[in-house]
Amino acid sequence: MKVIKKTIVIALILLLSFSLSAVSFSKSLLNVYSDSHLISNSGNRGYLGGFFPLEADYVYKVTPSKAMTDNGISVNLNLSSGIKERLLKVSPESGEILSRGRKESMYQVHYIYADIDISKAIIEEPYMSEDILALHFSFLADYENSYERFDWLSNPINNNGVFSEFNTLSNTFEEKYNSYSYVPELGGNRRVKNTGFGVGVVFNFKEEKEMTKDGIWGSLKGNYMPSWMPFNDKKGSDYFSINLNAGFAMTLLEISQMSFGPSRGLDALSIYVETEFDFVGAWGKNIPQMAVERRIWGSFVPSSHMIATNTTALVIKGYQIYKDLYPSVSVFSDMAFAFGGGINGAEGGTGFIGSLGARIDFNIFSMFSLYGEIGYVYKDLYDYNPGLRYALGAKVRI
Amino acid sequence: MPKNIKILATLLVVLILIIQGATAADDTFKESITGSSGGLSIGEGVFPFSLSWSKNKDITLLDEDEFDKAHLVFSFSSSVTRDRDYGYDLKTGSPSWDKQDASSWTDNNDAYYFKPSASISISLSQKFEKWTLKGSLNTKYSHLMEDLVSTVPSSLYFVNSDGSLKYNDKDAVAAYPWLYGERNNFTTSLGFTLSRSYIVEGLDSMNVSVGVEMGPWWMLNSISNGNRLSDYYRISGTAGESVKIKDTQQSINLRWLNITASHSNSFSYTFGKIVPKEKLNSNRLKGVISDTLSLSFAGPQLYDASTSISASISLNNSLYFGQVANMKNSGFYYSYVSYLSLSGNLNLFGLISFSVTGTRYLSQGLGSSNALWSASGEVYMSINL
Repeated sequence: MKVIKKTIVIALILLLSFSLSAVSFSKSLLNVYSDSHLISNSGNRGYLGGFFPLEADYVYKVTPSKAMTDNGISVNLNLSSGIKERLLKVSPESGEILSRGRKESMYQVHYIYADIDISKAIIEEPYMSEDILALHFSFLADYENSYERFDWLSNPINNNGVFSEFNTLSNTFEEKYNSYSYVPELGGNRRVKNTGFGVGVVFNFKEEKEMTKDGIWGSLKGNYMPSWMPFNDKKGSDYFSINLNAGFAMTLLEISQMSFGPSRGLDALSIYVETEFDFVGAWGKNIPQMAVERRIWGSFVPSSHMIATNTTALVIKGYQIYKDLYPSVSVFSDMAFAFGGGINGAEGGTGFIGSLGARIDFNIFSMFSLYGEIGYVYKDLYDYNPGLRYALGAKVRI
Repeated sequence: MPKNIKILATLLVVLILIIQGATAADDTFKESITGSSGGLSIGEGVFPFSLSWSKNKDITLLDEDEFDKAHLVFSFSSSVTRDRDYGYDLKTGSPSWDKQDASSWTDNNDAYYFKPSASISISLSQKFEKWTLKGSLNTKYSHLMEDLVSTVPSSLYFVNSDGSLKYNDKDAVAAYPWLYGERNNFTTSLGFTLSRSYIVEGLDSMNVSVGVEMGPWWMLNSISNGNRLSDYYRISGTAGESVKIKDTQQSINLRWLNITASHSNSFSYTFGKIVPKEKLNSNRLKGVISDTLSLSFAGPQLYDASTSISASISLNNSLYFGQVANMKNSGFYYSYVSYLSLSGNLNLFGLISFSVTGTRYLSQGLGSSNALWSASGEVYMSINL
């Protein structure tokens, strides 16, 4: 505890120094997001607690004074915290792929991710909300606590734990694994912190409105999380990674309602298509799961050294009943290709997974949405069976 | 219809009605991450974060020339915390200070449970000539689980080592019905408050309020976990006065020092068979009359208005009385509790605050086994919009 408290104190002093370096101080909230499946077999969120919005993701942003940004340089402190579920894909002890059911391999992660991001605009336009092209340098800090999943916590005697199991003879909980060599961050108290640096270039030429989306965007970033950083503990990271992201969207059709009276400015229908490619490659002695954590709809991607994913969707929105109040329908394809072998020497290998599906969504004032999803996972992870997946859910977004 | 769907349908109807009423109104938002040396601690268990959000709107209910607009507030909040309930006698429901039969005692005094919870509420207030009337409808959901850091079977809160539930006996007196069954707990309540401010020479403020509140079984308080989770009616009242002793400014329009003396009295009594957790006091007696005298120091604002030091000292005297809530055949008890508390707070940029509180009990009442001294510190981080 003492080490953690000392770390917190140092982190707060750094945060304070950072804050005092600003001439003025402002903050804004980027996103608060909660997504719960009410009824689901799609696996990504269904086990987290019924309809209660436990999986929340908060992202907020603190922006120092523009006195520091006269030359197109801006400094942001980005923080996010929340709870998410993760799949234990390989045995931490042997590195072999786990063949037990998906539910028995899910655990929950409580996290705080932070970065101090310094960016320099290369190309900027006053009418764009973001820089068209910018260079970024970041100081990164991650903190994670891992626990058994929620339904295990409801009755740990009658459920199988991911990390421990109840021994009826000795009347104790016993650790399932003697070592966590292949998933180092889960060793000991399953608490891990990592720090490091990131550099990158971000391109953004996109216009996203309520009913339409057009443009192209992309980024190339490199992260270096070395073991010698002062905050990294023994289980912490020692790796570098490259992240490449590129996307394209185009509005195919937009039909306005009669442009007078209460429906002025509203759309009857809009259709757009969007596609996004993502690549991550990570190499090093100790790569945490978070570095190569990728999902497709209805399934999970193996934690390999390199992962390429693509998601493509055709989105139909309308009829717009009121501003921010409309139904939408979309069809989508998710694909992932993992290659280069499993991280930390574990099994994982080369593999392709993919799903096709459709989603119907009712957006209520851009704060709540009710949705139904159905899809077919035609190629799944390891020996999980491909199949039909569905989910009915509710999202809260503030 | 499944219980979850019933609860969800209720929430959605409330939600949609409220959103319709509150569209295009102002938002307030608060998110926090808390670490503290007592109870909750960063790194020891969950990150104890909470989120609250509200939407406000002024609406016209009465003649605009004669009355102010009514104020509608819709709010949502959620939190993930650790919590506890002290042991009690399963045969009688008697509390820890009245331990009668050790064999039927649930001894959870040192244990915590894990509690994700969420609430949705709507309130409407209308100012009349002198009084303001406020009505509110509150819903709350929580799902109790074993503590994240429990790894010893004997320390489990809800489950015996043979897998059966500790709180599942239909014949037992459920002093804490929210601990029973699958612990899916949904409750609703309705409350009304009348409040008024007086202008009194020599005082800076004087406020009075009276209220009634109810959470009867028929307001969906029996649908979620197999037990009635709430069945109560409550009356309450407060009166408070304050006077500024000193108020000085720095030359740059920031506060230097503000000293305020304040005094308040309050009372409440809860009738009914089942009093929910948030309405129980520590010794579970149904009535309380209290008196609080405090001196607050708001120190210099250092950097901007949101960076400041503050401190307070207060003396609280409370008389608890009446029957024990959620107990079978309870007698009538009294308990006098008196304590002095000191607290200090440092707030930086409205983003991070450090606080420390020390309490010295002068009279402990029925909970006399508690320590005379207690102290706690907290680091609190919040984002407000």
